[in-house]
Amino acid sequence: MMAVYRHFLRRMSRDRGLAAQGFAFFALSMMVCVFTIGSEDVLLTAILPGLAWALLLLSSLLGLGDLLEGEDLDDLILAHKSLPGLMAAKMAAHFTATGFVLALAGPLILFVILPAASLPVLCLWLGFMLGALSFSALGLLGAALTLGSRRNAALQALIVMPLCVPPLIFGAGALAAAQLDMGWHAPMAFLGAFACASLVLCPFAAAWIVRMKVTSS
Amino acid sequence: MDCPYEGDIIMITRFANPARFERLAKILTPVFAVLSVLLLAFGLCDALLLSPPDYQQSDAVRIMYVHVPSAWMAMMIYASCGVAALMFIVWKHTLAELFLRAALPVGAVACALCLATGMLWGKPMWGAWWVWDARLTSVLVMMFLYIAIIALADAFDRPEQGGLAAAWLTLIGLVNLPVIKYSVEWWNTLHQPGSLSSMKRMADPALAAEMLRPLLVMGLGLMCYLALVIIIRMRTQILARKIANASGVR
Amino acid sequence: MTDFHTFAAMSGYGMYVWPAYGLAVLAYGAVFIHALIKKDRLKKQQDEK
Repeated sequence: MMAVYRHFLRRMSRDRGLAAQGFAFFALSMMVCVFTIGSEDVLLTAILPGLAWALLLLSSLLGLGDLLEGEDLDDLILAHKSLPGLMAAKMAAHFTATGFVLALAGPLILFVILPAASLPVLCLWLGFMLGALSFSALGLLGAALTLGSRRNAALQALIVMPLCVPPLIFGAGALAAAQLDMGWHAPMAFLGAFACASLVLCPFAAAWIVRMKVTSS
Repeated sequence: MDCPYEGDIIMITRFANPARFERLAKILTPVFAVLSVLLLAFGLCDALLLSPPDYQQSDAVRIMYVHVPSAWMAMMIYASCGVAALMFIVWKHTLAELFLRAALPVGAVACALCLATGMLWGKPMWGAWWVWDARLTSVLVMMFLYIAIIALADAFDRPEQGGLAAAWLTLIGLVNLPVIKYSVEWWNTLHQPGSLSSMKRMADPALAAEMLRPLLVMGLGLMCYLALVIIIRMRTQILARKIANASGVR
Repeated sequence: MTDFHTFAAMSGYGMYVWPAYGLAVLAYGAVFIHALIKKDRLKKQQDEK
């Protein structure tokens, strides 16, 4: 499984430089937001962390287009008996290439832009990590559903974004609570529970969907 | 595609079940047509003329008689699509796919109307077209799910794959909806309990019988009407497949 | 005449009540008509063959 993971990771980074692209997309959209909102510290401190959550979701949609597409899928299914394991490897590769990098770098960008004292550090990092994990798991589901369809990227966004509403709400809720100096552990725990559940369930569901599609064609 | 049996199997399922459905539909179509005309005619009169204005909301309460039935139908159609999706995934029941494809757009219309009439009701009552309330947000997510499922169903060159993917997304969305509802409720009590309590106040008062009657009549009438539309759409699809099959054979 | 006016005014909420009913009639009607048109078109197509 590790070999599969490394293989996908290499392919994603070689073909597209996905991590760099995702990071650049995230940073660029952040910059655009600052331009449009205005660079007042008070305003940015109130708005930007929540906005970063939305941008995290959008950026993690980036690598989905060719997550499952590709000539090697049939071979991989034949070579590996465990399709859920294969899906989990794909998910992990996607997370490492997009979500993980952003979850590390996103809060850093916020540190640079905003006055550091006003940021709930732990809440941001933890939330971004758990959120990015859920987004990758749900993204895998979206990629499996759209496998073999005509209009891939837009359709994937359309499918994945409604599914991502619960983690987004928990994460943004925890962040908002932390910014108001209120207890944020409860929403964070919900986010963690959602991330765990989706990490376990989504590879199985995606494997089911892919197997049905491959056998029915 | 290369499987030599597949064509036969598809022929069997395609013609055996839809034929039985056609017979049933021939009986049900006039029944639903008559029922929906009667119920909707009486319901509209009752809703607009006979039923009393609310003592708090006066005549604005009449929006309820289109808003709530639409909400019921949006949820009911989604739930029945969930059942059909499960049947399609587990048993490859062709009729279930036909139902999915026929019912989803109708449910989306009901959901859109629920949102639109809700906004028209919210403006005079709450003073805002839109409030980020638990109920509203979960219905909005349902609307987007409807759109996503319909888009997914049509996005494949091979319609069977589109139906399969749509069925899966319907099932996944079925799991997601209560989660969304619960989480937003919880989330909103943190932020703006005001709108939530106003929503509860809307839902709370035990309706007077004169108001419950038009509501139920309109709900039943709309159900019969949309069932009629779905049956017509299903029969159209069966016809389309027959034509496609015939031209494929030739 | 005044009866009709009071009815249409919906005690001041007319501009919300009537669009709600109008939209509903339009949208649900369109769904039905669309279904019928589609069916007729297919029926014609079938008869041509």
